[in-house]
Amino acid sequence: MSSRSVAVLVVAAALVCAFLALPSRVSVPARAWLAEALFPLVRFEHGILGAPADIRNAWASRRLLEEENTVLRRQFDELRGQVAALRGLKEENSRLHRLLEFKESGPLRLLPAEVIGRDTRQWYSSIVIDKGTRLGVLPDMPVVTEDGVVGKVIEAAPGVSTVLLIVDKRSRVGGVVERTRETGVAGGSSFNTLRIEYLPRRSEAKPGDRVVTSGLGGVYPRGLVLGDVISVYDGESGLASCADISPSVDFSRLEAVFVVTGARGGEGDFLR
Amino acid sequence: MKVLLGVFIIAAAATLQTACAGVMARVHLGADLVLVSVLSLAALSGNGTAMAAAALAGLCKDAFSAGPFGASSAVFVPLAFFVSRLRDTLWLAHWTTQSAIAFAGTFAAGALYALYAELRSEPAFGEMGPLLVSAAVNACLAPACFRVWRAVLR
Repeated sequence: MSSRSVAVLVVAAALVCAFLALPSRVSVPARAWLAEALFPLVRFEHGILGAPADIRNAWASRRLLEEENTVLRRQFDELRGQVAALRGLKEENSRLHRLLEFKESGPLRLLPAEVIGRDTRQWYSSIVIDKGTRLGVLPDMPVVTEDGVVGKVIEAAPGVSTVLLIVDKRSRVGGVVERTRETGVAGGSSFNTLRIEYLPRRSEAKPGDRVVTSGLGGVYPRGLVLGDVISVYDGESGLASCADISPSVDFSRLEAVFVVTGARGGEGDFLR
Repeated sequence: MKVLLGVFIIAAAATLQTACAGVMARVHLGADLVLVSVLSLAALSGNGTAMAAAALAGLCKDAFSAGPFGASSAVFVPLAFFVSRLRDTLWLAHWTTQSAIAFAGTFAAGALYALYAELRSEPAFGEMGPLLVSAAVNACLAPACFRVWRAVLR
């Protein structure tokens, strides 16, 4: 062993002994100072070592959140479906309520029927209903809704009937302008529009006036709503006025109708 | 620059040991990164460097220990001196030699700690089982430590 090595060892041993012999008032602050100096490194390494656990926890949380999200999304879809169904039921309930009120309150005997088909050859000009002769439905019986006149039965089978809509060009209904009491004959003119002809020359009817059935013609009872006047103009002959009418019934959304089978007072009284 | 890097590595080993203490305790692995660092540096460098590093490493280790400040230095310095004296006679290039130094050094450190405790009339350090596990773990860590120090000293 060289003398240099011995010297180094002696110095080191002396230093270590000096450290060990330090009084606590010196060694304690020295230790604290060193620990303080090294603390950032410990914290950094602790952070690195803790990272996998954090990542694992984050991953687990994410999986939990994803599962929860899936469940909640499914529940949301179910609830949205239920809300849509309830909204449909509410609308149906409201419509049926109106129909019931209409059926019960008026002077007419009404047979409820459901629209089960439409004639596709003629655009919305006739419909098929699920009631027929078995329940007393006969040709020429008026068909109405709570909004107004729909048309009349033109063919009746035991279980189903065909209804000619008032907007069909072949249809003719006696009408009267409610405000002026001017009468005319209403019929289909163009898509979803009525025209009332043979109003008096220089008619006083104005846009917005309500037109109802006059009861003339022997098919439709008096006072059923046909629609509102859109415009008034002179007829082709110049001897009478005409008016275009917006029907009160939305024929594109017909679902349930009533067949007028008579008046409450007696069979077919309303016709006279 | 090398000195600064060396000091940083020793400090990092001491702090990493502190940071890993919880994990080590859970898996019952008593690795001593500071001891392995000191032994590997001592095997690759001269007396002066080895003992200075040993003294510093001991202080760093004791900074986070409840024992007397400088006790680890008292253990590491003679070990570093002894290993640095042997470096010319050992074939240090092979990992088995490196592991053997760490393994034997762990037992030697254990013996020195026990001796020191005896001198101070304190309870003896640990038991043989954990010491054996610690020696095995240190032996596994040694080749990596040697590689780090060799890179620093190059």
